[in-house]
Amino acid sequence: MQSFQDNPALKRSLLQKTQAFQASDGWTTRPVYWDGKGGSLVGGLLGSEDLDQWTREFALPKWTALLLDMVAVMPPSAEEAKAAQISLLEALPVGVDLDQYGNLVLSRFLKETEKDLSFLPTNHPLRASLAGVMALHEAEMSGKSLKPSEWREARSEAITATDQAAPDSPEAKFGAVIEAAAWDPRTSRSVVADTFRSWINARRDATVQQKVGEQGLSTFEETKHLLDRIHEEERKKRKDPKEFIHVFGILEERYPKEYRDMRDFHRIQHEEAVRQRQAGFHIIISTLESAEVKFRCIC
Amino acid sequence: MSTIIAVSEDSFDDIVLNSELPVVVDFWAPWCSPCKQLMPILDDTAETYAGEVVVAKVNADENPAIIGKYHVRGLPTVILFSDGEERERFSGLQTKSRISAFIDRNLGG
Repeated sequence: MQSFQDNPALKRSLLQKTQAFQASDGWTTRPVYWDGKGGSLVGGLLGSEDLDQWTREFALPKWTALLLDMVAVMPPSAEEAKAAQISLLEALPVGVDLDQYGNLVLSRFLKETEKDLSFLPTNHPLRASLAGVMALHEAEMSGKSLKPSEWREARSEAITATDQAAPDSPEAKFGAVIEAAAWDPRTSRSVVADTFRSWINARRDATVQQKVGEQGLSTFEETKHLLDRIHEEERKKRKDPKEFIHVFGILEERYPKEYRDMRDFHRIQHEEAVRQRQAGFHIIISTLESAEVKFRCIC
Repeated sequence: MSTIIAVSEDSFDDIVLNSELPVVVDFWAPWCSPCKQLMPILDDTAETYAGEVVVAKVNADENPAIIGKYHVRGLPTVILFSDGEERERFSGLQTKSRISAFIDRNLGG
């Protein structure tokens, strides 16, 4: 399968249609959706939700369709979402067997995860699981055909290893990346988008946790616990149990340090979400742009 | 093409409670961003488990009676029904691997 039927004009036409559809009233951020009048970018380009048609018409793997729509769900503004879709479409090479690119993009995210988990001992279950999933993607890239049971086993190991980590710890978050990536992109169209999302969340949360510690801010759990306590104390004081309790106002008035911490926490979290989304997007784009030669179809 | 079946209050009993296969029901709403992200993952999962489970979705805004009956407190919430009974549920966005493990547990696989 040669992407865009090995026809640069098809890609140009798709980009033009994308810009026209994004400028219309029909564009929405609900992935792989078409209601006959409007929908997601993929829905609009196909005039349907049939991803077999995506592969047939454009010679692109289904995971590219899902990724194209999913990159529009995450950014905070429609303009950024539309720009991300255009960048991704532009990065897709013409005349290339893109099947292996799914493995390659996933391998890049796992390689980054390997760095993030390098503080763990080499025999840690998460690192062993990560190595196992990376090996499966490597095997597929080298042309080996894997059994579904090999992927199932890798997923089971990833979940077991993740569940051994403390809930919401960076280890558990990066474990979710390994879990998400443990599918064959040829048969699981959501794997790339799912891994991209999990990676952004893991990187965001790990960095936020680090910065919260460095700056001596209250953690999310501490703030939540305090807000619950305020709510409980106020509820007991009031005669009408349905009366609205403005816990954030009370927090600001009585606990100014904790209130500032909460605002700083959310600011850092938002900044990191943007930063990591850009970093993850850069991994995808650079992989697609740089691997063109390696997997150029010579059939 | 999506393999998720849209279910309403009128069709819930027929499609979910009287189903011979286990049914995974996604309670969602159009305004819910995590629901938007979960739907294509569930759709992909539905294809992976075709013939073993049915995957259905309930629009929470349009079907308040079902939401109340099953005490759905947040969106998305996913409930697995088997033989007309709720077996297990989860809330929030999950990876396809977790959703598959959730189904496998209830298939006995």
